[in-house]
Amino acid sequence: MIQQVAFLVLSALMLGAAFGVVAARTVFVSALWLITSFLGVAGLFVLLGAGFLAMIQLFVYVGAISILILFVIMLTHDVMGRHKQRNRQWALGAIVAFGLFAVMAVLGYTTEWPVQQGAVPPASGGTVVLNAEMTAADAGRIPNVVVTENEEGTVSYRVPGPTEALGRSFVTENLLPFEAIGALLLVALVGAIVIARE
Amino acid sequence: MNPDQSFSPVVATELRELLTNALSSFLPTSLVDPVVNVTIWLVVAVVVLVVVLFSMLYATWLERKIVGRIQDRYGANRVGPFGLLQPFADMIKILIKEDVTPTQAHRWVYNLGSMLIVPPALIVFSVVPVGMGLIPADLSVGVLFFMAVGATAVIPIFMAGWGSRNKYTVIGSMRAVAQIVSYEIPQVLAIVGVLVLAGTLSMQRVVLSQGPIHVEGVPDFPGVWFVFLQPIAFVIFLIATAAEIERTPFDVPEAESEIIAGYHTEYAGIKFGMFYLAIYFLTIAAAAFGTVMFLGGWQPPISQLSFIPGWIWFFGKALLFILLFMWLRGTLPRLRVDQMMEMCWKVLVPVGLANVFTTALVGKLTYEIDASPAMVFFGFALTNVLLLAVAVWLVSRWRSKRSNQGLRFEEPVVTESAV
Repeated sequence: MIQQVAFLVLSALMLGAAFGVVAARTVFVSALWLITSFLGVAGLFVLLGAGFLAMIQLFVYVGAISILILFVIMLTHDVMGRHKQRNRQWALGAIVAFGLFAVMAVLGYTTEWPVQQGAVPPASGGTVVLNAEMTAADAGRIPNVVVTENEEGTVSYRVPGPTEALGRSFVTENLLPFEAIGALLLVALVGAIVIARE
Repeated sequence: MNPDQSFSPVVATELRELLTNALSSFLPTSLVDPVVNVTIWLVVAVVVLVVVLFSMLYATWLERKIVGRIQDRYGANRVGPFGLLQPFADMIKILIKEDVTPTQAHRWVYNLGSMLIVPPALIVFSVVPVGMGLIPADLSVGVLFFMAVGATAVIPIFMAGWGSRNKYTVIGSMRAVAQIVSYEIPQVLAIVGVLVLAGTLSMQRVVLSQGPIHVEGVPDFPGVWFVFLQPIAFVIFLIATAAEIERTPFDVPEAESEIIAGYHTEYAGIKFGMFYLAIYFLTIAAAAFGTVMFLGGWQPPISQLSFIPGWIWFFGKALLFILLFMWLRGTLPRLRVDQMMEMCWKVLVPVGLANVFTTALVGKLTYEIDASPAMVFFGFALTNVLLLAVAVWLVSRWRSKRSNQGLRFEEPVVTESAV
């Protein structure tokens, strides 16, 4: 009940703010609406039990990317002016936007999400209790499950918390993408320092 | 018993029992639990608010006294004994001042800017542990929560600067945001070193990992304050934090000799009071964060001293941080904008990156060979000496490059005949 209310409020906030982005007549105010929309997305992540992602959304999108947007706006000509959001191409733009929305909606409905297959990891970490309904084979199929074997040969299955699961997937099955992105960010950082030195 | 239950969920099992007993006599059973929960949340929120507000009021008093002494003055001493009632006099003064809005201001953005500056500075206190079980909410991602919510405080600064429609406020807000966003990077890098060793993102677990008091089932490596294992990271954190909260020597955004008062130039009365409030809240929050991350939070230094309650340790250590910031304010001149940026990008960020790398290396190596505490300590001492050498080298490089392009004063071209 409370979750549904929260979902509706957050969705209304996100959609309303997104409408504000395209309706506001000042670029700066548009950017502020965009930030509000980002906050709604962070709220949705909290609702989905993904606390780490919510914090990263807040940190990266609200705290960094929107700051870049605001900076760029402040450095442009006529930041205080009021402008129309429409020009001659608005109809074309609307068609492209709706087309993109349609593609994403169709993809969303036709994809077999892991959630529909019943593979929902428990929200918080804990040890899996084996019984008639949960056999060892079932436990082994839980996403991100940590299998440990002690000296007597007893195998135990532990489901990590969401943050730990994310961390584990970064250093196991997604190691290469993680390292690649890490190297990319490091190169960007070093590049920034090199430019600053000159 | 699950180790998490002994320290994570809020306080006051007695309060919960008391409320449940009192309410169950006249409320339907299905409503008792939600009402009790909401009541306890409200009580906790009010307690946090009152404690933080009083700390803020007396931080202003302390600052005036200490900076006064440093500058050979007495500081506040008229209202009440030792000027102790001065904060309240200031509060009344600021509340009854006329509220002036510039005619050209964008009213919504201008007013919202002054309102939204306080909440982030206050919300961060909801994950600060002041004792065993004394934490409003022990989030599993508490450290991230603190930094992420703190990072959103730059948006109201932009709103204030832009909404006032004044070139000094725009310059001030650009400076403020550039400074805060830049110094966030070395601050996070310094924290990452601690988090790698603690192996958790929960504030309470970070505290538990560095002191003599343990909870069964919670990892207790390394068992000493992180300031001893990560001294260079601690110094980076201090400098970056001073920049984040815009205190001298980093008060470039409100440099009154250059741009009046920066982004809050156009605010008067209680709206200015909001900015004043937020800056002090952020100072206290930064002191609390530094205490948790590097000084062992509410942990006593040795277990023999654990008869003193944790919250006294916590407030004492946080007070040390606040006194340090005030001392810096009283003694250091302001940096120039370019010096401030160079300090961040040419010194702090490279050293911070090197610190993350060496910490991960030494931490993993000592863990793999199951080293004794003395070995761990020696390893970190060695890497920190290396890092110090790198930092000194970077600073000297930076300064030697600077010396030939510093400020130059032209000889006056006025001749005697012209006078």
